[in-house]
Parts: sequence; C-alpha cells; structure tokens
Amino acid sequence: MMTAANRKALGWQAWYAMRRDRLLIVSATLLALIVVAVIIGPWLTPHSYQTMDLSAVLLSPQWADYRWFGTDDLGRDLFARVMQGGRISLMVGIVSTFVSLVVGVLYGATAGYFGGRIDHLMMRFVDILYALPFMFFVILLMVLFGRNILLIFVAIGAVNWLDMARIVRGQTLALRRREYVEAAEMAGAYSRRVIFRHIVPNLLGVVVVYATLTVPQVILIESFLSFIGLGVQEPMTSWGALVQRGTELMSIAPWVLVIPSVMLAVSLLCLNFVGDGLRDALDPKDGHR
Amino acid sequence: MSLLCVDDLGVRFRTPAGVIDAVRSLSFRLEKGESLAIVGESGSGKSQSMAAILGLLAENGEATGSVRLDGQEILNSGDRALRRIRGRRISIVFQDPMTSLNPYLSIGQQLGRVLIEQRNLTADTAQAEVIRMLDAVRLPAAKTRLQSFPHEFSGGMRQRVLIAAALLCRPDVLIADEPTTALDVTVQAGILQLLRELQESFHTALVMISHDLAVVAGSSDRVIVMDRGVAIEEGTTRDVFNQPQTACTQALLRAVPRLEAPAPTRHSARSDARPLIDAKQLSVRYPMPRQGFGRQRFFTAVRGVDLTLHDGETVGVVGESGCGKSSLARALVNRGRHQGDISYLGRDLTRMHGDELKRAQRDMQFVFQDPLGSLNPRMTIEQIVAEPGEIHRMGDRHKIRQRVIELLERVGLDESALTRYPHEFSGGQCQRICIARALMSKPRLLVCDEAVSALDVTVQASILDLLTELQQELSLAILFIAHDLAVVRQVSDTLLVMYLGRVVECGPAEQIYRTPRHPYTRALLDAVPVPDPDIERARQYHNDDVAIPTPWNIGLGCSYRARCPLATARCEQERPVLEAFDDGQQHVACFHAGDVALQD
Repeated sequence: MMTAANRKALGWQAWYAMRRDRLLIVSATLLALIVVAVIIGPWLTPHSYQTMDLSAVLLSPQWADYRWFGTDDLGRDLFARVMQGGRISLMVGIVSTFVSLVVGVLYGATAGYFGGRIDHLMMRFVDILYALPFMFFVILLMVLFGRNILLIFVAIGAVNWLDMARIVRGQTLALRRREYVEAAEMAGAYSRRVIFRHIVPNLLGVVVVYATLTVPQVILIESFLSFIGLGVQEPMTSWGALVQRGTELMSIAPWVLVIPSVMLAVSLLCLNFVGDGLRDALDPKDGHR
Repeated sequence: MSLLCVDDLGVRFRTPAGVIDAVRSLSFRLEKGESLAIVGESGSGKSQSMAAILGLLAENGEATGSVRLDGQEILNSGDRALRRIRGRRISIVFQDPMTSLNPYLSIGQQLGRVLIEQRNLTADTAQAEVIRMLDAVRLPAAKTRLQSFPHEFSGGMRQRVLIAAALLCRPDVLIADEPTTALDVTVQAGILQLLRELQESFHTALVMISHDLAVVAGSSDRVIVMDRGVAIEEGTTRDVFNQPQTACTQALLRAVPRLEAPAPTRHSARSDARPLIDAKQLSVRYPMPRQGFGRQRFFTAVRGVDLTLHDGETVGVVGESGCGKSSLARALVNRGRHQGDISYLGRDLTRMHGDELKRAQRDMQFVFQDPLGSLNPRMTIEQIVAEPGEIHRMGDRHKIRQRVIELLERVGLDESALTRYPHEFSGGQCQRICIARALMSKPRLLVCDEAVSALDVTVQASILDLLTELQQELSLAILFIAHDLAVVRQVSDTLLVMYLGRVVECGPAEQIYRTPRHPYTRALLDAVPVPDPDIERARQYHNDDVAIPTPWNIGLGCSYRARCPLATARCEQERPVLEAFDDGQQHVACFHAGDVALQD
C-alpha cells in the first residue's frame, strides 16, 4: 500500500507502478546495459573500429587477442564496430523519434484542438509533405548540404513527425469533446493551457506507444539509407549497415550477421516493452493495481 | 417447483487490493410469469448477481451457491451449456440501447440472425417472425424498418428493438437491467408500460433491476431491496412500498422526487432589481455537413427564446433530449454560435472581449451531466478544483489551496481527497467535486446541465439538497436543466418547458405544476413515475414517444401537433405563440391553453 504522502505526484505513482512490472524492469535494465555498453565499449577494446588488419580476416569470436566478436572480411574488429554502430543507431533512433514526437504532438494537438479552417490548412500542409517522395527529399538534402550524419536526423525527423501529427490530431479531435476540456474552457482557460494541461497529458498513452514503434522504424530507415549509400559512410557504421554487410558473409562467417542482428533485435524488443510499461505506469487509473 | 431458484448466491471479485464480496447469500424464487424487481443503489450487487446467473461475470469474478432453472443447476455450468440458456431460456436487456446494437448491421439482420442460429429457422420465416416481434413492441411501420440501421432510431425505439431481440426466442425469464435509466421520462413511461404488457401476453417471468423504486412500482409483483451485496428486504410490492421495514428502503422511497408532495418552501430572492442575465430572442443554429457543392444548410436547435435570471433565483429548463436545452445553456454563457441579445448585468455579453469577458466568464460556471467525464483523469482533485483559481489569478498557491480545502469540505469531502484521482470516487462524489470546481471562481450563475440525471435517486436527492443550500448561502443564480419535471420542480422558482427548440410554456414553477396548460407539459408531468404500486398499475400512458418529428420536418403549424391529443386543423396551419395566462405570469404557446377543462 502506498501512503498518502508518497503518492502525491504522478511521477511517484509511476515509479511505484513501474516497480511492480517485472517485464518493464528486466527490459529497462537490459536497455540501460546496452546503452552503457555502446558508450564505453569502444574504449574497452584495444582495437579500433576502422583499422584494417589483413592478417586477421574473418576471425571467429575468441578470447585471444581481445577478438571477442571476431572480425569482418576486411579484418576490422567486430566488437569495436558493433559498439560504434550502436552509438549511431541508438542516437538516430532516439533523437529522431524525440524530435518527431515534440513537433508532431504540438502540431497535431494544435490542429486538432482549434479545428475548422486552421485544422484544414495545417493538415493539408502535412498531406503535401507526405506526397513528397522520401528518397527525392533525401537526395535533395545531400545535394544542397553535402554528406553529413546530421542530415540523416533531419531527413528522418522531417518524415516521421507527419505520422505522429496525424495520430495526435485524431486523438485530439476526440479529446476536445470531452467534458473536462469544456469545463476548463468555461473556467476561462486559454488555449495554450487547455492544450498543455488537458489534452497533451491525455495523449500520453498513444504517443508513448507510437514513439516506441517509431524508434525501430527510424533505425531501419537509417540502415536502408546507409545501404543505398546515403546514410553513414564507411568506415563509420551503424547496426543496420553491419547487418547489411553481414548478410553477404552469412554462409562463411555467420557471426558477422548474427551479433549485430541480436543487438538490434534485443534493443528494439526492450524498447517496445519499456514503451508498454511506461504507458501503463503513467496511467493514474492503473496506478493502484 | 419454481422456474428459477436462486439459493445462497455469492459473487466475489479477486482484486489486487483484496477480495471484494459483491453479492452475499442472495436467495429468491421466481415463478412462471411472475415479475420480480431488484432495487438498490449502484454498487449494491444487483447487476452482478444477474451476470453471475448468466455466467457473464468479469474474469476475476467467481460465483458460489446454486441457481436452478426448472430444477437443473446452471450456475458455473460452463460456456457451452449456458449458451443454450442465454437468449433461449433467459434473456437480458441492458441499460444502454446505444451500445447494445451493432452499428454495422441492419435491425433485420441482427434480429434475424438470433432466430437463425438459436431456433434454426430459415431466413424467410425468421424475417416474418422478426416483423411480428417488432410489431409486438410497437415499433411503427416495422416492416419498412427492417433495413434501417441502429443510428436511424431514437433511444426509446432502440430500446424497443432490444426488447424485441430479447423476446425473439420466447424466453422463460426476461432480465431488464436498468432498461429506462438512459431514457427521457416520457420514453421511460412508454417502455415500462410495454414491458408490463409484454410480460402478460408472453407469460414471461420478468426480473427488473433498477436504482429507482418508482420505476418498478407498476411492473413488479415482488420487490427485493439490496444494499451492499445483501438482500435486506423482500416482499410483495405493495408491502414494501406501504410498510418499508428497513431504513435503506425508506431512504430509497424518500429519495424519489414526487410531484404530489407539497412544494419545498423556497426563499425566493426574486427582486425587481436589475437581472443578472437577460436574453432576448436567443437562437442557436449549427451548420450541417455540406452536400457536395450544395448550399450551406443549418440545423436550428433553439428558436427565439427569452430568458431572465436574477441573483438567487433558479430557472428550470425541461424537455426531452434534443429539445435544445443544452444549446440554450451554452449560448447563455456565450459559447458556440448564437443569435439574439444577451445582456449580462446590463452589458451586452456578445460584444464583450478581453478582461471584461473573462470577468463575466468567471461569474458563470457549468456543472455537467457526466461527473467522471468532466474531470481530467490525469489531474489530482486538488489540481482540478484549483484550476479556475489559477486561471483567474485568485491568489498565491497557499491561498488557493486553502480555498480548495474549504470548498471540498463545503461539498462534503475531506482533505484526504486532495491527492487522489477522479476514478477513485463514486459518481456522486465526482459531481460534488465538479460543484466545488465550479464554485472556485466565486460565480454568480451556476448552470447545471442534467447535473443529476446520471446519478442514483438517493445520490440525486443529496446533490439537489447541496445545490439548494449553496444557493441560499451564496445567493447563486442557477439555471437547472433536466428532462425530469419532478426533479426540476424541487429546485426551481421559474420554469421553461421546451419542445424542439421553442419554449411552449413558461412561468412560476408552482403554478405550472398546479395548472399545466400546454399538452406537452401535461405529458411530461404524467410520465413521472410515482412510487405507489396502485397508481402505477392503473395508469394508461398513451404511447406517443414514437411520433417525434425531426426538427427539420415540422413545417408550418404547431411543432407538437403530431403527438398532441388535442390537435385540430388550426394546429396544422398556424403556429401558436406564447400568450399570457393567469395575471400574466404563465405563458403558453397553445391554442387550447384557455380551456383547461378540456385537459382534465
């Protein structure tokens, strides 16, 4: 049982709810381990992710000479590469999702809340952006600004917030008819207050779930871009790029495919569980299970 | 041998907070063709006991005891066995006719499928049977409506369709779980009468579940009163109503709003001073979806209504759903599109803006119908009640907090509510929180839009008492909207009866109750159920809820003429306007208002 004092804030309540969700604890811990690993990983090994060693091509995973994950066909250390790739993949995934989340929620909630002509204009703008072919857009950016990892963030963010905005707008349309929204308006609340205090908090469930679905999607888009040569460039790498390379060597050196794939899959799975758990934990109605 | 023997029925739910005993040791017998009523406040276990009998409990529920149908044990007998019983032997009609029908299937398909599956009829014979049953529940032009979809019916008609669906397989037992709670009083009266008649013609045993004793007075032979999972009183309807044994039953009976009781003495603070709100020729219209490139058309919800409110006065607005009473209320506080003049303390409300408008808004607060729905589920009670105070900058945090505590105590809650969330409270408590929030900004006008319609009768009575007390303390003006005249009468000084957007009768509440002059007002008064089995049984309610015209096909003439027992040729041609009667206080829009004798 919770005492009256420590269930004061939603944050506390969420914390208590989270502690009771075993799946959430396990996946959050695992995710945290992966994040820590990709941050400190490259310093743990004496090998660099970009040094080629033609005397050590396609070594299988072994303790000798710190080749924990083995090497690839150019003799580059796979452990260093997986850690380095994880940095890029997770960063792309999380930063792009965060950007699309903030932009999409604000845009969608505003359009949905005001409705009428404003909604019409804002959503037609979204439709126009949708109609723009993604590849064309990316190539255009490359031509204008040259190759840069930042461009990947921009390109992915620019596409992903559209989905978020649409989903949020739909939810907002339903929420703004709720009586508590009307009650706030009748109390004299300005639109900004209504949106931030009454609409956005109640969107949380949908947004969190959608965001956890977006992270994997973004990571996959990045690997696709890398594959066609518009994403990260060798010798820099990402999990998507590593998997891509691994498929070519699948029959002779399966670890080159399996290790980054497992890392990618485990991270994405954990992200989904964390999203589910967070949604439940942040719902005050479930706080008392 | 009885048809249905329930012995020592218990229902318990396992929740993480512990085991909850929803029903304890309930026993009753139901004979063939008998009618039994189970009455109790919400949460007393009446619906759960029926769900247990049909094996429809939620997953964490568990039923103990014995239920025998014709001597055969059916409790916990498994889904397959129960599926043969549900619908065929025991049928149920639920409270909400809006959600009990599949919106994607036509009525004919939905009802026909029951027969084809349960009784192995062919499509043709099934259809003939469906038509017969729809006629039996008096759905007008049943044959032509088979292709209609649920959204094309009004609430009352949908409930009729559901009753027809429940009776299709000629069950031995029909369970009606709050069948009229979601309906208007006029529609309720029709449905109750229908159930009474069907029970006789089909020899079905009827179990009526309700929170309102008055509703079951006319249609039950025996009554069981439940309180917190236990049957505390059982007897013939007459005995229970005339000599209630337990305090709980007495409280239930007392809570029923009665028309014949002497009017509560009200300190009418009415003065000839400047009115708080004075609305003239108020109209509200909504744009309808445009058809292709067609002209923009409008649906007029309120047409030319005049309304005056003074400090400390209560004006009641009564009418069936869809009559425009909520639109009127929203227009009065300057929300939504509307035409006409509204003056607030002598200033034109429609032309106000900025600080002046905010000041006026602060003076006018709303209490909504759905108490839980009008509280943000993600905010604590403190945040909810404090919000108007923050918006209008009524002091620092400490001061606002003090006022929140004060208000919560005033509406009957204590400080421990502050950190809790809305879903932890009952409907009545939530409505108290809504009232506290509305009072935060120290308003002068409180608009109660069906504020007690969704509540149990006992809770309803306590909320009405609270409103009356608050009004006297704070000299509030109240605009009280409801579909039940008996409820409105308890609190109102002045009354407005609305029908399809127009006021058909208005004047001092007491006078209208004594001499209702408009046939519609009369119908509303007649429809109020009386907690007296003898009166209720004898009543013949003329079934007119099926002929309500839609607001856009009224045409010329009196909008009430289709349902009016007094309608003449003149009513077809000409629209009656409000005329003064009885020293100019009571206004009626009816050509027959003068001859009261005709109506008696």
